[in-house]
Amino acid sequence: MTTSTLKPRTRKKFSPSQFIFGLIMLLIAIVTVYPFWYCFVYSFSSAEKAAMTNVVLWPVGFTLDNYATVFKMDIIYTSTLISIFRTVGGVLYTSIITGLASYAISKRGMPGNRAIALFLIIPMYISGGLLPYYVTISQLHLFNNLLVYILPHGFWAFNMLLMRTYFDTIPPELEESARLDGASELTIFLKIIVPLSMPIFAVIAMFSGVWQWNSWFDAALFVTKFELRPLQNVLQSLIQENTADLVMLMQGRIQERTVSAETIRMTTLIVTTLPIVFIYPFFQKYFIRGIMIGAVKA
Amino acid sequence: MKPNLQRRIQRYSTLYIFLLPAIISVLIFYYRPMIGLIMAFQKYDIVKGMFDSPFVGLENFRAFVNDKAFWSALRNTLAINGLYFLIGFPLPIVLAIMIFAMRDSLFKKVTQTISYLPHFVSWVVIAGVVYKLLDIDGGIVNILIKNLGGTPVAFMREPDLFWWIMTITSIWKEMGWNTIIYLAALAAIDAAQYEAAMVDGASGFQQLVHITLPGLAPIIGLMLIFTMGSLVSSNSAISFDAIYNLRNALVASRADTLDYYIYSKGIQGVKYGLSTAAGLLLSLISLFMVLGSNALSRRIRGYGAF
Repeated sequence: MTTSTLKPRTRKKFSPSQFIFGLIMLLIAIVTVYPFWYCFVYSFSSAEKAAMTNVVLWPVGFTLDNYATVFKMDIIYTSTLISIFRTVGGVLYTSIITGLASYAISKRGMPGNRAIALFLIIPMYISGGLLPYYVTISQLHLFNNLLVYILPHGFWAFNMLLMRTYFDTIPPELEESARLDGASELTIFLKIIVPLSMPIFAVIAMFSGVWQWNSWFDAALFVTKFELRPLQNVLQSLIQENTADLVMLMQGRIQERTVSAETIRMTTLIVTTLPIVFIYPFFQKYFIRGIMIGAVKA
Repeated sequence: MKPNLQRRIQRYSTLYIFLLPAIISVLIFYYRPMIGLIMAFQKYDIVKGMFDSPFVGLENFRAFVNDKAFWSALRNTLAINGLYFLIGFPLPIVLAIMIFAMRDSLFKKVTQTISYLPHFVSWVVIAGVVYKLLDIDGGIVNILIKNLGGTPVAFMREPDLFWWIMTITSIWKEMGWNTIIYLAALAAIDAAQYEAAMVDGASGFQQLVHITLPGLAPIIGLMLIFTMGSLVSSNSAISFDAIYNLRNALVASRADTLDYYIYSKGIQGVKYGLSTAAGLLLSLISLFMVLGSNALSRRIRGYGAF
């Protein structure tokens, strides 16, 4: 650190600190990726070979049987559909509710604006806790109902604050001229605000989409029917259930010696994670923006 | 109603309708459960419901205070969050300063992007990965230990190791992601300061102490408030999600945190009153800590987070 400079752009020549920093970053990248890579190659390994030799960097006894077996399981199909349903439905629902509310809240001249904002923000700091929430969901008859994945998550004040910060940067003249032309608030919102605010909608959609895809606890609490649970819960059962139960769950599909409970676990794990990895390059420019706006807000 | 106010309300009438879905959603899913907090003072009866169950005063609070499992859960919560705070809080700051000092390159961009990735992966998956890597037979960590001449360790069956495994896994998952906010703050430091320092012949270390760290101080303070405030709450770095997926019956004595205690008593043990009471205490403490650390920061630094 002593020989380096903290303003890198002005230095061009090789320096030992740059080399060390690069080495540390390389190490971090390897430590981050390797665990996933390990599971990835395991999912392409033959169970028989993997039990005898160590899987380290490449599949041992390369096979696609694990994937063939996993994709033959009915539960994988239904749960993937459920996961897609809750992710797409949740993102749309949240975007609409948050967008409308944030637009209204960004109008400071509106009577009662501050009181309503406070009312919406308080739940960020105080909550009823697990049991009262559980009882509420049961009283609303949302048990074993797919809407339990979407309805409770329509609004979260933090998203509104992010969006309001963004709306505040849109020049008011744009709306004013439309308003003079007699456009309604809904028209202004849909035709002017939404098209100008796609980046922030992308941020909210990304955060809520990832959250939805990764969620499992609501299903574990409120959904007892296995066929209504998302992919995460199926993976969780595969990991936590002991091997005998797992064999039952797979309805006796383990006939090949290339497939075992362990390889099935790893394969399902990869199937659950891949959508995130595939979408990741597309949304990565958005989350940095989201954090920046969040930081400005704070 | 004054005519002026009435006119203003009329002018904004559509916007009130815009707010309606959010208000209804919050009322049903956040405020309604808050009413349920009265269960904390009841001997809750599922058939009678919230309004007809008999009140028992502080009986539920007494019950969990006398429960050894509660104190063990409190100890685990403080220990795991404390460990995470001590190690996991400074690391992203150091890493961010290092990344900022690196010359821009494709390599830097790619490694940085990779380091954010685990943040987006679910705890279900992470737990699956951890169990596989640490497996006693065939897990890569034990293969490594064996090759180095050691004896294999049953990591996930050893209560004494759980706090560390939990802490390290959380740091591994969130460290890269947590650098982003510090990098944003670093990018906002005026570049002219560094140029002036270099003209004056300041060393890299001097620049670090006199420009970089003071520039980062406000955001470090802010993150400190958030982290302190959430040390015992369910928003803490060590979430219920993490515990639920990484724990197992063998390590329960060291793994079960307050969140898990509330879950297991209430949902699995059907002790609604006791569980609600413990949850109420937990959320009061965490609210107190958020407000407390904010007030502290106001006093020390002259301003708080809100």
